[in-house]
Amino acid sequence: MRRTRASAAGRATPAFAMAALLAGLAMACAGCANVKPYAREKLADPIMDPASQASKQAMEQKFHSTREGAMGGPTAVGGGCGCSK
Amino acid sequence: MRLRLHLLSVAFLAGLVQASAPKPGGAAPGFQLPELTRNASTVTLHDLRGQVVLVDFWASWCPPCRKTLPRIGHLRLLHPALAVLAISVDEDRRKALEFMKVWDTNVVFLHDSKRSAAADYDLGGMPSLYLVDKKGALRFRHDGYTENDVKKIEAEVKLLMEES
Repeated sequence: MRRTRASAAGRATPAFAMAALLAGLAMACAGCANVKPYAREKLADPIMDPASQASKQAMEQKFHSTREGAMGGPTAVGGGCGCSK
Repeated sequence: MRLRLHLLSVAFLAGLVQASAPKPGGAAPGFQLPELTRNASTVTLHDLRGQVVLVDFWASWCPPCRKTLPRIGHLRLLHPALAVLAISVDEDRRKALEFMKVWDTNVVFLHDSKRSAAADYDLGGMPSLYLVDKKGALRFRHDGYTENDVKKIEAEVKLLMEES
């Protein structure tokens, strides 16, 4: 009985390895795309730059943390007084 | 099992191999593209056989392209017999038109909206400049652009213009 189980497990291993290999290859092929230089129109859009709205994001974060200070904002927890510190 | 793995590896590696870019010395890939300003009129590279042709691929979203276009206009003034084709790869024709308004009109502006010519030339950067000799051979290519390229391109144009 033990031998049978062991041999069945032995047969299943190559099939599992093959499936894992195929899945890995599929992910490797589909996961990365090389965008040609002439096709980077959308990537070159200023909105794709994370730093393009840094000042606006900083202001919003400041506003949010001040407003939500009493409840525990995203950054330092203040007193909820609305003061600038 | 081993044979299958070998076949899989070969297929995977074959998928990674990409079509090679046209190399200097070989024939320049031909194209027929509409003019940017007059959509009905088309220009074919083959029709310019007997002339030295400078092909410049540009786009309105490419900041360095703002530098190359005036330089190319200047080259055209130095060598009136030089044919200059400035090919926009913008999807939106209006954006390309807006961009080209400020540049010298002594250059022929074309529109490659489907990017078929860009794919044939397999551009290595934006902008990309190609020099085609009088016999239709691709002689020089410049993928990307730096200020150091200007003198090089000028010398290459001069060399090709002097050839019979």
